[in-house]
Amino acid sequence: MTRNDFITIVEQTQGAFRRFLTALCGGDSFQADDIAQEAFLKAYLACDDLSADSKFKPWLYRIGYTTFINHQRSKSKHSSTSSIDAVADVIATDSSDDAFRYQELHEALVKLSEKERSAVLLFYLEDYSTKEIAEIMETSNVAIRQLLTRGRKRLREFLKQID
Amino acid sequence: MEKDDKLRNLFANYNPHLPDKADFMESLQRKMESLEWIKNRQAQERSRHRKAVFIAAIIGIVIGFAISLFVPLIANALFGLSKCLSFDTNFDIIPQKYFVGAWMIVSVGAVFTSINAYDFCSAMMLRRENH
Repeated sequence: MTRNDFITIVEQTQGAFRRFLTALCGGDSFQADDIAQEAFLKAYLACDDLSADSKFKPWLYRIGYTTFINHQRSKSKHSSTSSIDAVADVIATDSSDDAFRYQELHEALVKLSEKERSAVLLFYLEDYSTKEIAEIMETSNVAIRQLLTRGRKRLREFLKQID
Repeated sequence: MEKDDKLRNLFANYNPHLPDKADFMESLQRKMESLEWIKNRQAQERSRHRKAVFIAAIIGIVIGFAISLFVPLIANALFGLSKCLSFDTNFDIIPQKYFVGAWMIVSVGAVFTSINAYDFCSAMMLRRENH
């Protein structure tokens, strides 16, 4: 894959990918963009290994998910701030109306575990099937169904509490 | 798996404000250029290393072969030295021992020459690339 081909694909996929990562990061679009850039660079380095019959987008989302998990692990090692406080900080500094419009959703999403949040977002936001999500998250179809069942049950509860 | 309608509608309308796309793409492309520069340097280094190893191996083989022709002379020299230094010698077995010693000197010499040839070639190629 040439550099120009890669840039073309990035321009086509960056919007949806960044939106997914923003939801994954609880509304922190700056952290989401950092993760998105890191994921795109990893994809650029490894794009020659991508076989012709593999799809770029699910492969990119797998890299993005892994990069997000690594970020969360290194954050938890270096910071004692809770994820809820982190969301509040982001909302407090972001003056956009969108921050308030999606505040409840972001607060509810952050309360889910990283795996539940990822599964729910890939299912509802990106419209992937459970089989595709299992490939992205490198786990079994059964595990994804369990994550989705648990995740959306908890999400509904949190959203009701907030309402 | 069935989708929850409420959640489906919630996410269908999810469209947060993202930082400017042009800034994102510009930053990404700058990072890609840095990566490409590093990759090119690594490729140059690998190529230089392969060439230097090849040249060093050839030199080592040639030097080793050339010195090997002098093994009988080296063995006799060592034998002569041992005659000067020791008083009680066995004329039948000593030449064999000193042939082994001579081969060891040849091996060490070939390795030493190869390593120096590798360092020299590597330094010369790096100097040529930087000019």
